[in-house]
Amino acid sequence: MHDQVAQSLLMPRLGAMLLATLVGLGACGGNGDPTPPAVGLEQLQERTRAPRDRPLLLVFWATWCDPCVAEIPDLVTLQTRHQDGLEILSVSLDVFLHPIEQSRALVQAQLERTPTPYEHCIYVGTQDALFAAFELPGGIPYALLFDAGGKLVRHFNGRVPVEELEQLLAVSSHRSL
Amino acid sequence: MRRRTTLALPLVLALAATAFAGPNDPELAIGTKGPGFELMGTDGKKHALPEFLSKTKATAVVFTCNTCPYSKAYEPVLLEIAAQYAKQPVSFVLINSNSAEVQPLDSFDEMVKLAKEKKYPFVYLHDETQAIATAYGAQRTPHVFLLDAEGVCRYRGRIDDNAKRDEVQTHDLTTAIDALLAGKEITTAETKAFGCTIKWRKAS
Repeated sequence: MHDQVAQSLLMPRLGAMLLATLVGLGACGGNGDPTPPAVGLEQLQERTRAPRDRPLLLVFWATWCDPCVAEIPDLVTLQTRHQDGLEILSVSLDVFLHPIEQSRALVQAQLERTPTPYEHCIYVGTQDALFAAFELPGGIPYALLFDAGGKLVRHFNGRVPVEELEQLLAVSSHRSL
Repeated sequence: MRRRTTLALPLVLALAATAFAGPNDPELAIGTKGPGFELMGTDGKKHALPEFLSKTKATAVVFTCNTCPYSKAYEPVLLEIAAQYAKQPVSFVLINSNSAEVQPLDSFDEMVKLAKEKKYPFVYLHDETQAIATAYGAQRTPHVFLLDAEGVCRYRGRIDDNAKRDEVQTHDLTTAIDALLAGKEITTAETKAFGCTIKWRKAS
């Protein structure tokens, strides 16, 4: 089954990186960005569909969610090991509990405690819209893996299983050579 | 090979969708009877489900806890709702199913302290074995199951759609309670409970 999923992860698009650069898909804060930007549902959906040369792992979390914070070192490891083979985008849902200013401060404080080599943004929108669009089960952490073509290939309810994800990426890299 | 992939992908996605349902038991279905329980309350007494069903027309079984920030945010909301329905035939039963091994501040002693400190007007029960959370398919805190006088589940999910009081748009639980008391149809019978995951005991 991994072979089949991995094949779907490949789907390289001609000039994907160039196109992504041209249309300026910079809705979320880059590595080390001290102020994670606020994004709406449409921006988030657009990001998952945007052309790119590698799979995208979209991770929903919040600073008040202990298992989410505990997962950060795993995500750091994943992104560090697969700099060219995986794009991680972390989406804070802190606004479901706190105003945006407070959410941003909490996320920033967390990222100062645990610096991360991947992108961050803060979702600003309703629960209902987000849950419907990404089929969130209601609990976090929750992650979605999209292939390079923007197709959803896997849900992770709870912490991302690092070994399983790495197996997918390993097979994917192997096939692409 | 390409054809095989095309055919296999829907299967892979279907399997992924199955896994998405999660490891826990499914939530109690609307229209089915809420499983019975007899649990120790912070008032030092054991409380069983029929005690509430026999007294009121609506019983809100709320899985919550001492520690989850989302539950803490909804604590004043539950206190407010309980006050709002104080003179109506509605029961509120709070159940803490979190493992005290995983989260010590959810121990029974800590529950007693919190209930006293906040002067809980409702019972706060300890589901030490987590059997009741499992039976209801509760997965989050807070996670609500509204039962009618016969103990049948008529609404399940969240309390409302926003923990920030000034941004609430749908008061899902109270709307369901009002409909139940009025003998009307509950138009939104299911919502997604958002919050912390119930802290399950570690497998021995």
